[in-house]
Amino acid sequence: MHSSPIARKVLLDLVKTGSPVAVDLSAVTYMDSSGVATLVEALQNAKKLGQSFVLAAPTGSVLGVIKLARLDKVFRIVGSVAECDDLAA
Amino acid sequence: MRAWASRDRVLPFTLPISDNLFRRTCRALPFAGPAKECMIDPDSHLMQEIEFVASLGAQFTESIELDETLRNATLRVMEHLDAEAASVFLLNPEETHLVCRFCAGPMDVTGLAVPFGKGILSRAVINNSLEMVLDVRGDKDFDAKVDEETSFVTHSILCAPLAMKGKPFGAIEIINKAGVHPLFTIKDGRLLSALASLSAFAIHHARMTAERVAQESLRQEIRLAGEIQRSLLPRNPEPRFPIFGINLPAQEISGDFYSHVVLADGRIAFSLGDVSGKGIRASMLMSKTISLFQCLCKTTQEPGRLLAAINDEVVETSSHGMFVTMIAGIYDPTTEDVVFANAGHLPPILRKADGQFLTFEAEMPPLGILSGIEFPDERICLDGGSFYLYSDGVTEAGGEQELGEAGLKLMLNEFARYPLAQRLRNIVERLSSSSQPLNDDITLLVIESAESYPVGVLKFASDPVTLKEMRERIREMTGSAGAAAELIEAIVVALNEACMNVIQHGYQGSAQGEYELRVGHHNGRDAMIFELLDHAPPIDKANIKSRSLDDLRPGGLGVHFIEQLMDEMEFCAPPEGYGNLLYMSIRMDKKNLLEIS
Repeated sequence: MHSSPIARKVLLDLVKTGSPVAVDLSAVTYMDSSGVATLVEALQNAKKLGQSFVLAAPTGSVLGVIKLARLDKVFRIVGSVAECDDLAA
Repeated sequence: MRAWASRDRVLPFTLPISDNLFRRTCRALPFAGPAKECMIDPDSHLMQEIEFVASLGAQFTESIELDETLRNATLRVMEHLDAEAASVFLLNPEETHLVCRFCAGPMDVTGLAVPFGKGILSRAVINNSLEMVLDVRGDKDFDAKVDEETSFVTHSILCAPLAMKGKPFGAIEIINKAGVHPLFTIKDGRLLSALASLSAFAIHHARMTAERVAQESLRQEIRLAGEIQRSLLPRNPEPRFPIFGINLPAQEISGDFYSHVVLADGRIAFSLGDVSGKGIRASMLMSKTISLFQCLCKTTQEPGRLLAAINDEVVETSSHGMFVTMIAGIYDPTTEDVVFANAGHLPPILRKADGQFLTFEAEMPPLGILSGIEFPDERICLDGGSFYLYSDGVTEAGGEQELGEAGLKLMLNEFARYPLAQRLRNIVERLSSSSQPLNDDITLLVIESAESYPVGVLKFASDPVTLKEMRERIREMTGSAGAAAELIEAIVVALNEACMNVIQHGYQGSAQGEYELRVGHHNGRDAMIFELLDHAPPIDKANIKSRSLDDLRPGGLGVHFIEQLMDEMEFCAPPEGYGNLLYMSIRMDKKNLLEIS
């Protein structure tokens, strides 16, 4: 919740550019429901622009929270940033 | 047409009802063929009769006032046949008399009851056949009594039975054909039979409708009685309350009851009972007994004396050999002492903290049988254990494979770590989900200390920056209490959401407030207990809802996270000086919480 407003601005601005977005979550140790909300909002905006939006390398606890919200089937989740590059290409 | 006309000259006195106008009409009508094949002259007598019957039929379908329609139809037939009088008789429910429902003509015989089995009318009903008597003086069954009592003179009678599915229940009678040809004809008979068929259907339909209305009204009454009964049972207490009861009636209304009442000194009076028999009578005695308990327990605080007082009252007014088995007692939350007395009820079960069971057989008979009985008090201390009362609907559930006391004890072990409400709901759900329908009401009550061993207290400013530290401290506390890594993460996620809600919604983002987390361990249930307190304005519980996850949108997931992870989450009355108290608990052995790979 503490870092969510900053992360939200960065993410939404990035999506606005119209480029494909990959979010590297490998260094995120904890995510709460406001973090999940930010990812959902960014995903929806990306979809409107027809851009891909991918989550990469979420840690166990972050993936657990995404699954708890039953969003693991909604997001495209890949194991590493390298795989994101492939997707974007 | 010619053949029919020639047949009309034959005058059989009794016609089978199946040979009615409709069959002839149906044969004659050009249902499917082109117009040129129609053999009926629109001005013919047959066509006029068909139109007449059709108009009568229309009256029945259009009107909702059966009596009025029957009266009109009979009058029209009477006029059509040029008769002097007409009447409709129906069998009474006892089938001893035919009673005149209404009549038309010079004499009013409405309400007249003719003994069933005698007379021409009865003959038509018994034989389920049209009766045509051209001269009543020649008929041995003619009863001249009515004529003798009135100035009316009967010459001829045409009488058609009213029947449904081959079972007659009355008759329409037309008396004395007037005019130029004062003799009834077979055509008259067929016309009356047609009217009788229409009338029988309409009467039957009206009766069925009335019956349905009455049944629905009775069902509604029973539903209301059930609602009133349920309102006599205590409302669901807060999770921190040491007693929880549950009642699942086998029907709308119940003969079982339970109750708990907080006394002025903080102790809690409780009871559970079962009235013999089922249905309305049992439910009324249940209502009386629970009301007596709820009233008397405030002044009579020795359970034995309380049962004696209720017993004397029930004996005085009970009837039909009805009785009540009942346990009443008082629980002291500060000492965990229970004092109780048992009037013929199933033995309560104490599941001790070490998992051992103790049962306490009743020594005294049920209430409502003998007055002046004394009921001895028994004293026990829960000492971390749980005390269960239950009705025979619990142990006798399961049809041929009855659960029994042994089966109940197995379930008490299985669900021992669940919070009280969830524990009893699990048991009831298990019992009611069996393939056997419930034969009896299911009622359970548990008493267990709500006190938990304190693990620690955390206080933070209502600033999001504190959440990280809160999470770290909770990890340490729950880890030292013995929680597994998966459980710790689940607790951290749930508490983080709860604290975030306090900051975001309770304090509206202001960092000037404070939140407090009290962490405890319930030994009996082996569960972690969390109480989150704040000084924010009291929240409206109605606004705290978990949202549907199918609706993909940002936000609103916090409550869902807490509900998914914790066993209990409920806003309780906060202590003095606090704005809100959110109570949460989670079993130490809970698994598969977060799918952490």
